[in-house]
Amino acid sequence: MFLRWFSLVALTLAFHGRAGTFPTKPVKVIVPFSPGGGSDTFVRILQSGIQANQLLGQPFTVINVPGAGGTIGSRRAKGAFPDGHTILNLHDGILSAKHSGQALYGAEAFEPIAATGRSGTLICVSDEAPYQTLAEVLAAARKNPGSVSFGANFGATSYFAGRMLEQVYEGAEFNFVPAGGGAKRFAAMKGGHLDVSTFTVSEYVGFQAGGLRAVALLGAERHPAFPEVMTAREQGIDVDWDLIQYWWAPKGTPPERIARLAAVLREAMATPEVAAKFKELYVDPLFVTGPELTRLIGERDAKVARLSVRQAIELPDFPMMIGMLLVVVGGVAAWRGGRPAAMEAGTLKALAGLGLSLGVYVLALQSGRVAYVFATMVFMFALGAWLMRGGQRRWSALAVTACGVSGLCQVVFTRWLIVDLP
Amino acid sequence: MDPVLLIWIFLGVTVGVLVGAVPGLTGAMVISLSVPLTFGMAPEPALALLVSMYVGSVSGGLITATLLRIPGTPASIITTLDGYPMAKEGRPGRALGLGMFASLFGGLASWLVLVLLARPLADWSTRMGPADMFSLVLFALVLIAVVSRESLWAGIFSGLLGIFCALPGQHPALGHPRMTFGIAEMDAGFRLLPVLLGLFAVSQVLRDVVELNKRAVTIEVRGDSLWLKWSEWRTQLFNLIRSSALGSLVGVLPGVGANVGSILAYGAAKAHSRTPERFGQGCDEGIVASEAANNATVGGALVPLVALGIPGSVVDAILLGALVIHGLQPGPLLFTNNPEIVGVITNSYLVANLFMFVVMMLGARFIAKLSRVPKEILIPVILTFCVVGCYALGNRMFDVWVMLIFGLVGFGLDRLRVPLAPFVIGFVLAPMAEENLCAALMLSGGSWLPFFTRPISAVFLVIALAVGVSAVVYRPRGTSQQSP
Repeated sequence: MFLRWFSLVALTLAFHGRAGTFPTKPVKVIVPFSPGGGSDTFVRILQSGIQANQLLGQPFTVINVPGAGGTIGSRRAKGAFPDGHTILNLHDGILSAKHSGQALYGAEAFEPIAATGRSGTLICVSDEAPYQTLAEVLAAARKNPGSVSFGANFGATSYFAGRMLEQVYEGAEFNFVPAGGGAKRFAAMKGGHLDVSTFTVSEYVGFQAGGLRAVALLGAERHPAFPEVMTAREQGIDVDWDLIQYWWAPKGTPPERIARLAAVLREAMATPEVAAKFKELYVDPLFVTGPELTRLIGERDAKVARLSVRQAIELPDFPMMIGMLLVVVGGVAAWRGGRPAAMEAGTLKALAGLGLSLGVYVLALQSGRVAYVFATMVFMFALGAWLMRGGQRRWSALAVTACGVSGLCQVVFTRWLIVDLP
Repeated sequence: MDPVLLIWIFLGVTVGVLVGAVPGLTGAMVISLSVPLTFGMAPEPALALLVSMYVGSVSGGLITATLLRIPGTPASIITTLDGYPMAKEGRPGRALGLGMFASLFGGLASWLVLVLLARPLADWSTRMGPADMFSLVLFALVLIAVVSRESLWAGIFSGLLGIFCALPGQHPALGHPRMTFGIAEMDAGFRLLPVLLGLFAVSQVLRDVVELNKRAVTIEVRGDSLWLKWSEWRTQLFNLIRSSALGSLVGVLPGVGANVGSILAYGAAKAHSRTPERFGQGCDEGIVASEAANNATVGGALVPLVALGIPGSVVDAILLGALVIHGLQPGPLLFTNNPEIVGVITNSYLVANLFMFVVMMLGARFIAKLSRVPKEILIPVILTFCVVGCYALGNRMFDVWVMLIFGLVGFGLDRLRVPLAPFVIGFVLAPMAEENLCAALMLSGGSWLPFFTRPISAVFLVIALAVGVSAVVYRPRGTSQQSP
């Protein structure tokens, strides 16, 4: 009976949701990188533009799901309910992750909403290096293949930029070395550990004075901030590669909702505060949507798809080595150590009780059907009561703690720290 | 300094200390989640707030590490080794007092380093290539053997197991997923916080629950004082200076954090001690070394940030993001273009250390009572924070399951008398070691020679070898009864 009522209510709500204008609840945008990173900063600038001008009519919240080069977050978005309330922001990394084998899916697994903003890519060397132009760098990489080290994380977009250069300048071969993010690559170049690497325009603005020299911009025309830096094309190297930020919705999201989201993003881009921030960060205010966007993504995907990841040298097989060492040392330790203490009945009981309460609690949270505050309150009270069974009973203290802590966690984490609690 | 900034610093330190003390919440997590909160603020108070949260969180971990044997942050793992035994002996006040003063000393010493030596040290840090970094990390790994008090082989086993558990996830050099058993959620491997919370918090809770039934000992606070006599500090002076110097230097190196600083300082203190057998049983030197060093890494880590715009730690990477959002361009020009911002960072760091000491000293009387809160109430609270903290790390339930599984692993290892600290050391250091080893090998085209020909690398390798051999050959006194 309850279930029937419940489903009726749910249906009405769903119907209401359809009848009302989208969005009917906060739109969550999954950023598959940590807070404070480049993508996160980018999204939050647009977010503040949307929120300040109330463009959406509902909150626009950022949920960070970092890990594995963005694939943990993109997979979450891929599996989200396709009603437009969960979307993803991910740059060209979505293309490179597929073609380097880090993920089994690429752009085709999503409905593209819009492309917003483009950052130019510069090829840089240390200012103590003998190279003045990209052509000289490539000539050296052709003369002695593998002698020029190129800092880029394997399978990342900058890696593919390097591979594109190799492909166009036949015979040139870089020695690709993983080198982390922009700041780490700058440190490595300054210390003389790397010869060449890529930087975005805003990174270059910051690090230039520390001893970097741009030898080429991988763009269609020279950048207004550095009119002296030649494009690769001007040097006879036909490579055009930059970093575009895209917004994606799960497959099956209704087209009118995608259009609405695209319109909101377009309006946000046009607000003066977003435009000013983008200018500060040297982001070109590109905006593409609709069929033109599909064409753009297809073009860029084809560029990356032609290339592959090349491994230069054989690296030691650590899982094997550590595993074998572990077995040997474990054997010695077991032989030298005494017998372990036997398990008593009390121990097992404690394990079972704690395991059961924690397991049920976490499963309940995972199912997403129980509100966080409620589940936590019940869990704390039940566990505390079970622990008290043998000793003094402090019911009131326990009840106050359970209510207080669960309420506090709910408020702090959802209102203040914006965490996506069930 | 602007009095409004002082209020922000006070707020930041207090929040930081609380967050550091609560198992489940770490500084990096709360700071990263608070960055969006600072968007509406001017850059100066925003940075003051974030820097002081950083200082507070590294210090606050000491409290639960000492009183509950649950390190509140990864930085205080080593503090559990001596802090908890001392508290259990009935001297929690002394343990906290030692830790707080050492934290203050480490913080102030590294502030001096930050103000006086930022430029040369930052330049030195860029000269450390992947080969040098690998050898340094290898040296820290060898210290596992030194830290393992109970039994050398069990300690090494634990360290190897930690290294093994750090292997799943993205290959550190090639980026492809490895050892994920086809589980997509494993593509990012196990993250440090869930593993740490599982091993220390959940397994400690399991132990506590078992002991509850036995009506086991609770800590009886005897009349002990937070304030130590000057003569006692004089004996620690050299230890304080050495640990702070080590912490500052380690902090300067990018990617090497507070936990490595405290491991190195603890190892050095033990190696220099006239009574090494007392380490791990609640000795002053151990607490002092760990806490001075982990606070010193914070100042050290700010060195490359202000001098070159390179983050020296995870938290600094978040600070860099905050700079960008506030329209500042991080990089070598920050000093020239925005000297006032660099000033705000260094001054906030100094004031935050002083406030941290005041806040913790004033709170200590109250804090020490934490160990007397009934376990029946404390345990559900700790577990709730652990669950929500793990979830908040990446908005993923997977991390919570990882924590629970490592809780069982930790409990099992403890039953087998395998020490847990080496596990975490291995787990933290392995990815750094592998990343740098791979990068060095790829740079040299597969040759191992640079590890021996680069002077810095060679020095670290020689020290590592010497320490390793001496740990195996000359067994420390006090461990012999463990051998059959």
